[in-house]
Amino acid sequence: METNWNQLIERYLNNELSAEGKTAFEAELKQNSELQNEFELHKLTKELIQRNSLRTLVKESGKWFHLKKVLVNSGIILVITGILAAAIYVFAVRTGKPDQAQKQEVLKQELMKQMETSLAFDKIDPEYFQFTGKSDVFLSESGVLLSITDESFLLDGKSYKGEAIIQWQEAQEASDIVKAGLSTTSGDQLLETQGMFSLNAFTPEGKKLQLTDKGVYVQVPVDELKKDMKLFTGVPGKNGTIDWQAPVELERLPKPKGMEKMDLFPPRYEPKLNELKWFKEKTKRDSLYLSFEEEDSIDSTASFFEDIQMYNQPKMESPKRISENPNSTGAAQIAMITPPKTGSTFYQLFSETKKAQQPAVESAKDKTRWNFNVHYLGNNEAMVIATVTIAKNWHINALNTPKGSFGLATNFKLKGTPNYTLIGKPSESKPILQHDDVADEDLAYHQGGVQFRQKIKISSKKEFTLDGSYFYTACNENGCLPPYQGTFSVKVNGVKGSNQISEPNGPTSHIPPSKVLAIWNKKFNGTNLSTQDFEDRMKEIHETCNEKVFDVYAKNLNTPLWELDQRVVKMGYPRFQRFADQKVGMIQMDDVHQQNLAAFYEKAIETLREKGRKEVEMALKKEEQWDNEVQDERQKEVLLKGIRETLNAKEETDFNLAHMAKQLKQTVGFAITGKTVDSRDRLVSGSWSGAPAKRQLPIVVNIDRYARPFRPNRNIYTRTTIKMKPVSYEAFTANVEAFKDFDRLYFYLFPKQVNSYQRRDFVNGRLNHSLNDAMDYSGLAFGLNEDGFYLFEIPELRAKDFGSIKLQKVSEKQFEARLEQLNERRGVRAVPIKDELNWLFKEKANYKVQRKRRENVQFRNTIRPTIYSCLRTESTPSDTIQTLLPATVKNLSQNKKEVKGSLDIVDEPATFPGGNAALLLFLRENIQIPQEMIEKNITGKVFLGFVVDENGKISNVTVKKGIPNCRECDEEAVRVVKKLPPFMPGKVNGKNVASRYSLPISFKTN
Amino acid sequence: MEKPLYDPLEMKKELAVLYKHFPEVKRLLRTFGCDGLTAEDLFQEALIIYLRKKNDPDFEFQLAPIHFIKQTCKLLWFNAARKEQKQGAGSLETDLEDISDSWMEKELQYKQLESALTKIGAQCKELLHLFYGLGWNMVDIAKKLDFRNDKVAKAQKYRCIQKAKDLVQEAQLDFDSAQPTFDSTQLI
Repeated sequence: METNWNQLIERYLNNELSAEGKTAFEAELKQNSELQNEFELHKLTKELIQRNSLRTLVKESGKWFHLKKVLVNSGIILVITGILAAAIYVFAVRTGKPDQAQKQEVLKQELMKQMETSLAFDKIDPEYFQFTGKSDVFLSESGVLLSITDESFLLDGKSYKGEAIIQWQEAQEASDIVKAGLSTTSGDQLLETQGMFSLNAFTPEGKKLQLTDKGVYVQVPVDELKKDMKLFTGVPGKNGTIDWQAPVELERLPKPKGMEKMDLFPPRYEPKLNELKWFKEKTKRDSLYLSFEEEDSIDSTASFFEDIQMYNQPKMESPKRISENPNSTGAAQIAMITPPKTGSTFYQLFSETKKAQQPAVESAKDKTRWNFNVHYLGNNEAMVIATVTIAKNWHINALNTPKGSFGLATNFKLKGTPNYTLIGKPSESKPILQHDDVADEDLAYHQGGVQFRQKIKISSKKEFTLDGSYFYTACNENGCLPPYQGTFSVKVNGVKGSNQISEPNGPTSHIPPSKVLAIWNKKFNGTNLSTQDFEDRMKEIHETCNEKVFDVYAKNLNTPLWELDQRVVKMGYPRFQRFADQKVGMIQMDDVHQQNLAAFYEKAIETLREKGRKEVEMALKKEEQWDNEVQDERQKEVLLKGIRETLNAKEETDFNLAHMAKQLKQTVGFAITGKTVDSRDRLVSGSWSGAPAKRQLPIVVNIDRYARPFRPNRNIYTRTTIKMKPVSYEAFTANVEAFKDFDRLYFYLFPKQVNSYQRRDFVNGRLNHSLNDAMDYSGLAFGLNEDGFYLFEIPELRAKDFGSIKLQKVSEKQFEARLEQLNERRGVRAVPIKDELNWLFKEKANYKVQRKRRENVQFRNTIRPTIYSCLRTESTPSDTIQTLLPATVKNLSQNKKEVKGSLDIVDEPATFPGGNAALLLFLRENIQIPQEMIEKNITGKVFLGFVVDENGKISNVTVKKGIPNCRECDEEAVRVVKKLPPFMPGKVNGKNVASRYSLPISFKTN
Repeated sequence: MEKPLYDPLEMKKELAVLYKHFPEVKRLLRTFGCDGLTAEDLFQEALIIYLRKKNDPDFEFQLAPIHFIKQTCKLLWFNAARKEQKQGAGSLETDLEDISDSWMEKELQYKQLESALTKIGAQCKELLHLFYGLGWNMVDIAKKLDFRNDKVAKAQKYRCIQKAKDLVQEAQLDFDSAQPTFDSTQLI
């Protein structure tokens, strides 16, 4: 409101309103007393403001007036003072100047004269520097740098902190030296000189100052750094010559560098990481570096080994200990007298034979790598360590096997010589203790890797070779390989001089990261270690791989670096000579600080080691946990598979039975035409006297006995009785395209008439399965590989050849949904598909984990050489016995595909035509249980081995493990096997090759 | 756009000339028993009055400027002296009456009211001085006083003038209420 008025009034006063506006305003003004007041007030205010402005102006001019006045006055004063000053100056010039200047001149000359008397070199003009008393740096004409502190001088034995005059003489150039007539003799010897200099200091009054202990730092530039340059003290002789005496080693101060800027990593470590674009953070790199602390040369071979394993072995491990199926009777049966109870027994044999197909005749040697080395413990004691790396799925027995164990204990022995004595017994890492239910024995074994240790006390003073032997056998679930005995020898250093015994003197594989990281700490700022010079040395120290070299530097902080360099040279590292030649001194520090640091160093190493160990342990624990999870899931799957198979078999048999019964309307006691059985049964023969005669009798069976074989045999099997329609099985075949892309290929069968589903394996991408004609099926081909799940669905499955099918990739969810849906119609689900899924998902996840591990191993393999710079050269002599060097392993793996003679390694194992079911049937029909066996009521397994040649013929049948006290059994097994029709030979690269085949045959009598 | 009634430059020049007479005036006032500081205040006041008179179209000078200023100074001094009830003021009563008229009274009142404006903020004072006193345009003022633009300056100007008005009104009320007592004392 008011502002509006303000505006209006203003505009009115400024005559900015239009004519109408003006009249309107004036009219309003007359009527509205409030506006009137406001208007008046506004006018008044405006006037006042203007008045105020005038006042400002007036005041300004007043100020100006006064300022001018002041200026004028002071101007006058200035002039006067100027004149006065001039007068005084003139006066001074006339009277004072000559007097005063002369006085000063005289004083200076006197001082100069006094100082000149103490000149060291007569014919060289001295330079003078004014030292203010505060620490300062001066540069002489020839470039010598003088650094003087307030603690540099003494006056009459007391420290002097005031001003000083520095007198400096130098003869750096040869010409100067000659000109000055300076001699370069030390006694009778002639010296080569890189320059001479002399320094004197005086108080301003001309009193001579002495140097303190701290003295003056002088840095002399030289054209060429000559070895063994020393600092001599000149002593003036009688006839003006100077004798140079008391040589002192020259030192250069180390160039300080903050720890945070230092790079103490092995020289190639960081560049490699950068190349791999690994994390830049120092903490991460430290931690990675630290993780190499505990590893030594052995592990590098181990990981090599593992790498190869990854290529050799099928990507998936077969489930462990399949035989531990609680539903099974424990062993496969070939029993003519007792019919197989359930399908699970069939499955049992199936799995066993399958397993046995794996190359079996191998030596334990192939499954392990033994490495030997010596760790020096100090006090003349050492530990001989055998590190054994064991192939996947294999184990070797412990040194100490439990009582009642049949396994051959591993043996690790050192040959006795006077060079050393054994301390205690050999020790081992903790074995896995397990009770084997099948064999009913306690096992103690090692998996993956193990270290055997034997402590020794060295008595020899010289280096000697230590010989030893080892003996072991490698086993897996199926049995053990022939034992292997090997010998080894390692070089052991003899007892060194008494003060050095406790330390390893020989080169180790690398400088322990914990030690490096321990000193790489801000706490070490301001010591010899936080210098550019140490950083340079560190690179070389890494190359020596001798932690003792490192200790020389880390533990002697109060010794000049060049002395340490020399010590290292004496240790046998001539490369450090060039550092020694640099004559780098040290950074001073007090004893307390140094002791603190020494304590810190020791403690930090411990802490870091502990930290590194913990990290590694954690990682291992995690891996182990994961493996266990996967293994659990697999075991569960095996269990479920057994249950499912059993259930399925039972259901199908019941189905067949019902099917037949419906047609026959008869359930007991009918004979099968044309089938007879050999019987020795007295009851059947009716003869009560003499030996029972063998008689051919028609088999009289019940319907279940008749129906049962249909199912497991699943042959195209059409036997008819008069009234009966056949229970027939017809073949269904399918081929999966590019089956090699999948690690697992299954075919899920969902029969509509029964509750359980079936899962069949594709063999080499081919599925051959017989379908029950009386049933309706839907099917699902399923593939799994690292990338995901693949499906092919056949909603209405009929017995025919599907030819080749192509699996489509599906997401995890889709897969789950499909499988659920197909399984939905199964009323009561005895084996939920969920468990199957859990297992498959776990397997899938495992790929990722395994790949990560592989990558990690590879990463570490690439980084390792940068840290273990001496590995290649050092490991070979110390590991004189290495059953298989990495290189050899590699060759072997490469050769394996070319060597035709190798029986053990095949891409595709030999198979019996018609599969294992056919083999089983053949055996069952041909084996005659020996009389002896029945009489003695013997049960047992015969393990047979034979070779299947390129044409599938069987030869070299041997009994690997027979049944004790039953030669007949063994013979019978061999006889039947020799009768076997030709096999489908094993293949390598698609070509038929000879291969070994092993077959367990189980004899059982009831 | 407010046009100043005078040209500030011209005025400055004139002021500079007139100020040179200050020592003279000071001496004169000293003879009346006035001290140096008051003398300058009075001189400045006189200069203001002179300038205002000069801009008043109704007024015609019968004297040379400097004489008018001297006269004014005298009047102001007597006025001040009388207010402070100084002795001997009466002797000059006649001289005072010669010049005293309504505008003089008014100027004194203005002076009184003007002092109220000292309470206004420095920025407002500067703004109002530049606008009303020196007649600058808003754009220049905005630049000089660091306003974002002339609009802001203008808004600020209204705010300032309102403030000034409030202060003046307040002072006026005080003055009016003080007037009777002043009058009564005068009567006594």
